[in-house]
Amino acid sequence: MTTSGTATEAFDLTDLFLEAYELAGIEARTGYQMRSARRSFNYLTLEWANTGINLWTVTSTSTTTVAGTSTYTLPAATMDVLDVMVSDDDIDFVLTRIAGTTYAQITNKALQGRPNEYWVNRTLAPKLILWPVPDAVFTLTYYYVRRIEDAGAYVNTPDIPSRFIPALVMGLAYKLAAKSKGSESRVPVLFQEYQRLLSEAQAEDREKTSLMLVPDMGR
Amino acid sequence: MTYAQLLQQIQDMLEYEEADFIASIPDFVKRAEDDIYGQVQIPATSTVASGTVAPGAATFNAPSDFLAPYSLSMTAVTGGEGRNLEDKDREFLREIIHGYPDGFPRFYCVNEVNSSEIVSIRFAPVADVSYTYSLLYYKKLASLVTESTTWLSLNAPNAMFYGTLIHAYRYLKGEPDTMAEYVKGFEMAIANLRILAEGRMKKDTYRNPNQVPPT
Repeated sequence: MTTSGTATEAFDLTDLFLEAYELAGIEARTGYQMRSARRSFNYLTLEWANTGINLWTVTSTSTTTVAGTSTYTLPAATMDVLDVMVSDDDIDFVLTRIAGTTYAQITNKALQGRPNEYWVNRTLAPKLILWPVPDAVFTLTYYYVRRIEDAGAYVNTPDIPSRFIPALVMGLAYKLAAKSKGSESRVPVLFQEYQRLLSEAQAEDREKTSLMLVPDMGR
Repeated sequence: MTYAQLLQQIQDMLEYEEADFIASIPDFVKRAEDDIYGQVQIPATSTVASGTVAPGAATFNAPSDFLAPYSLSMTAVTGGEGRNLEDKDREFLREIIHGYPDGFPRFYCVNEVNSSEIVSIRFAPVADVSYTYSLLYYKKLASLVTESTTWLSLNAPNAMFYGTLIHAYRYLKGEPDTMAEYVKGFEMAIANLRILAEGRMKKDTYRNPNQVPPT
């Protein structure tokens, strides 16, 4: 007797949708059922974006500032920005995030220099606004949380790590049961199990480092 | 029970020997068989067809006596593990197929009937290599009218008798209360046949000890 020796099973969306339907007590036979499951998948991933930081969606990118330009459009799938740095002579300077009201209270918004603060203007197309306005070309690097990718074709694997797959399937099962006539009785159980699995996955999805708290001595 | 015995029993029961009526009895027998096959899943009606699909194929033709699928499995000609395909609607296959590369088929459906009344089986994904298939299916059985005996006539004579009697008595525009008795007899025969065909012939005592009659 031997073990398989592999841990690479990749579940495509068809597999996941069929499993979710079975958990909901439904046999998926029709094309519409699959389309409906794909729509629910996309809604579910949007919900997850609202639950906090999903580590696998944290992405970094770099660009260069333009002297005299304070506003930079963020990638279309940006949900939020976590950290922003500007590099000057290969030295990174971390910027401080400020709120929109704080930015509004800056009396001289046109002041130019090396940026040390930023505001994320969360419009439909989110923007990064630097202050002071860059007075030169700096390398601008930022870490942001992106949207989980859409489902796309059924042959695709989800843009979700394997540790979240159980929660994903149970969440889908809950949604499919809720909108399928005859499976309403399973909704409470599926929802409860979904919350348990999601909580476990989210509790595991964290940076496993020591937390160091250092008093600010005014240095 | 043979076909000749059934003919004689129907005539004896109804005490009617007019030529047109006698000539119609084969039709009554066939209708009775249709009624029985429509109500009971009889293992004797299943059979296996095997064949090969080529790389790039997405369909194959079912045998001419095909009625409905029971299961479909495929194995690569080069060997390896076989796989049972999942039965889905045709629209399911159309919905998911986009983007799937050719590979080991996973799903199938009864596709369509062509002008020669041959049913084709569609599967997805499209075969990437040659596969042998094994299609277990419900077949059209030969009627007792053309055989001296059939599985039904030997194992469910009451169902054959009452089924034929109902159609024959309807032909004679018989009395409703007598017809009700014949229907009752047919229903009881169907119930007994169902116990045999869908129960005892599909379950053994390993997991169903109640199958064994008390001693």
